Amino acid sequence: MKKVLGALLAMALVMAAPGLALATNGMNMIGTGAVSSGMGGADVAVPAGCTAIAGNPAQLATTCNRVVSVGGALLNPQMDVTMPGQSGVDNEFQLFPLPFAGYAQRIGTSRWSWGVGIFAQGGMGVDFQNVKNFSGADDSLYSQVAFMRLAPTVAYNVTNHLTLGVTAFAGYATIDYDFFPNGVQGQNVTGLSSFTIAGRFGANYQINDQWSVGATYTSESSLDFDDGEMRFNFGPGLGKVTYRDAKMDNFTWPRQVEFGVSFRPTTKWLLAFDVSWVNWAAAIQTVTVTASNPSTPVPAGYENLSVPFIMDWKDQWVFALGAQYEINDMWTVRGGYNYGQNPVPDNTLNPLFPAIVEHHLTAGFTFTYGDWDFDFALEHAFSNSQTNTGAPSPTNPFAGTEVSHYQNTAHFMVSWRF
Amino acid sequence: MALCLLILCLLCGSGPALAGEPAPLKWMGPAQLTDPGRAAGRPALVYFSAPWCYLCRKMQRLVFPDPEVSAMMSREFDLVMVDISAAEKVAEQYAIKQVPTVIFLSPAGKQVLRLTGYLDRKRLTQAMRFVAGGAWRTQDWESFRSSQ
Repeated sequence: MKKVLGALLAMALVMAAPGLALATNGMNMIGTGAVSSGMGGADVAVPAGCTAIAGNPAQLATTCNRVVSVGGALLNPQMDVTMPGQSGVDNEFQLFPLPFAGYAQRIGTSRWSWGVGIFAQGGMGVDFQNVKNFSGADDSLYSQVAFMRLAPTVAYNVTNHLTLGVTAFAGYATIDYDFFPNGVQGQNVTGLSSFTIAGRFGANYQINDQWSVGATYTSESSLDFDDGEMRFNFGPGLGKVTYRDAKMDNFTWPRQVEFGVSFRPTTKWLLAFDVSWVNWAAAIQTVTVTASNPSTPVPAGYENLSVPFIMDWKDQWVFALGAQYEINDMWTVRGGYNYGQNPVPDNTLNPLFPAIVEHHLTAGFTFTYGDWDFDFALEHAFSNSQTNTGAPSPTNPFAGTEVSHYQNTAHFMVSWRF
Repeated sequence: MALCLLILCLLCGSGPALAGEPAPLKWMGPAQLTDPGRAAGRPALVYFSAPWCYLCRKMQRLVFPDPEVSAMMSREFDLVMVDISAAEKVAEQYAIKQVPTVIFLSPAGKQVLRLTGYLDRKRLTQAMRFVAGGAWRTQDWESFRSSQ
């Protein structure tokens, strides 16, 4: 079963390759699907259909019969890194596809609904080529963290006002990175992967025709990456040696608590506000990459390598505000704003794992034709810059380094009700 | 200042956007379906919904209040609303498999048209013309639609 789920998620990851860079609320997407994203990710107390699988599972109960949704996003990050004494280097052009597919249905006319979907939970990554390494030679910094989730979901209308939902997440994540692979002690790590499970519980309470409140709790996903390979550069002489067993420990996808409220001031307007707390402080502390089983004899003391990344991320508060206006039966327009505190501390900023953008502005629309919905949204994450203010040390090699980042994302989705 | 007033109107759930809305439709309960007195009257529009049905709420918000739609509904039909979560037997009797479902009944109580899923203004208006105008006696629904 684990292998089957892993294979399914791996297939989805291949679709989403080469990565899910900088998914902006830390490593999380601000929303899944063009409707949620168009409203700045404010979706906890908003009817959602299929995308409730990735949001508040209680909203799955807004499904009236059967609906299938397919879509995704194209994400284009723009970054630059400036190391001390060097000029800035721009990120290589990247356009990442982030797929979503889901199916949901109500069980007859009962109070039960169920659904299943697969989606990109988030990730991050960079691709800086021709950046100078610590020896002053041209080198690269590259990273790719990708996390897909398969999510069976059920929802139940407890009363006419209260709905509960639960989602079981089967997750599959991969990590690759290059840390100045052409310099002495440089590393190229590939093929790290991890299978993980987690869950989300959601509730929605429809106070009246105008007001609705919702909440979700998501458990953390412990990711134990293994099955990777590290090429470690010993410099002139021995050169690059492949360590056949590479692992990464202490990398966790955080638990999260969300509250949301939606308000319908008139028949055509819908306003929504969410606040989320993301427990990065417990999830991302010191991430350690270990490598063993070198393919050739190595100097004494280098049989097993241990590379700590001291990150010590902070807990994050995310605020999302969205508005929707139904112009007529065919057209609905949306706008939103999302602010997610930067969880990366100044003294541990690492250009391999930046997640620093904070302000997002979104806009979108739905075109409805019969039983079809065509959703589209654009998301802009405004530029943010951060400088590593920590003291230089072997565990803080990027002291004084500045990273800047902004990005644009286009979301699209097609849904068919039948 | 104008913006403040607009926001206030929006937050209070009142103001120009609501003031122009037509009077609420007069829905009757499912008991009306078995009322022998109804047979001498008009055709019926029977609307099956449920409190958890998002598309039902959307129809109630956007389609039924439309002035043209609501005027025709009130003028031509006995309006019956059935909450399937409260009237399970009626839902069973009419073999309701999903909501929203709209069933049109002739004055004699014969089912002449059944539509499922979200009905936009255009489709509901067409359906009401089909039934109220008596086209259902000589045409099937699809032929009627394609002739419009």
